[in-house]
Amino acid sequence: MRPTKVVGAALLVLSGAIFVYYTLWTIITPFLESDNPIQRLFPPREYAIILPVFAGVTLMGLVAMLYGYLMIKESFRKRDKAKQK
Amino acid sequence: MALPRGKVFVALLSVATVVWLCGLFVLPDGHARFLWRVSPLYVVMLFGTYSLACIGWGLLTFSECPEAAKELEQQVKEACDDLAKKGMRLNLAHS
Repeated sequence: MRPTKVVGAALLVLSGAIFVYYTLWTIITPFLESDNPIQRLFPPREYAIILPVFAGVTLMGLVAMLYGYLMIKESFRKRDKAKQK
Repeated sequence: MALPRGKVFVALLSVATVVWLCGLFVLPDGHARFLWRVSPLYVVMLFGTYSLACIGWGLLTFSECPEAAKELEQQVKEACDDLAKKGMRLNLAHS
């Protein structure tokens, strides 16, 4: 099977898995009794909120740092160019 | 007169945000409150997974046909030669 098809299938499976796991975690587990064996598959429910928020904040922070770095580099480049003239 | 889509989106988003924040103040601890707190993240997850799945599906069902590509190239060359014989000079600049 060609690599593009493999990547496509992998993305499909991954998105399906994320959907099923997160749905079960946030919507089903609150309604199961605390000693139900299925609960062992999932971490405590607070992490269903902490993990995505943490990931999102980290991602946006990295993007902001990258943007700031590029802006500063650009301003130094402009300053050095003006000095040369 | 169509409403500008960007402003409509921002307006709806602000309304949803305000409603969600009010819900945080109103609901008591329990299942309902947890589900309410999770709902924005769940919506974002739905959107993200749907986008990922669309990309994956597109990659999976993308069918290349190399024989048809070669045939097309051949036909283009033939057409160009034919027209050149009839006196027209063509610039084969397209890819």
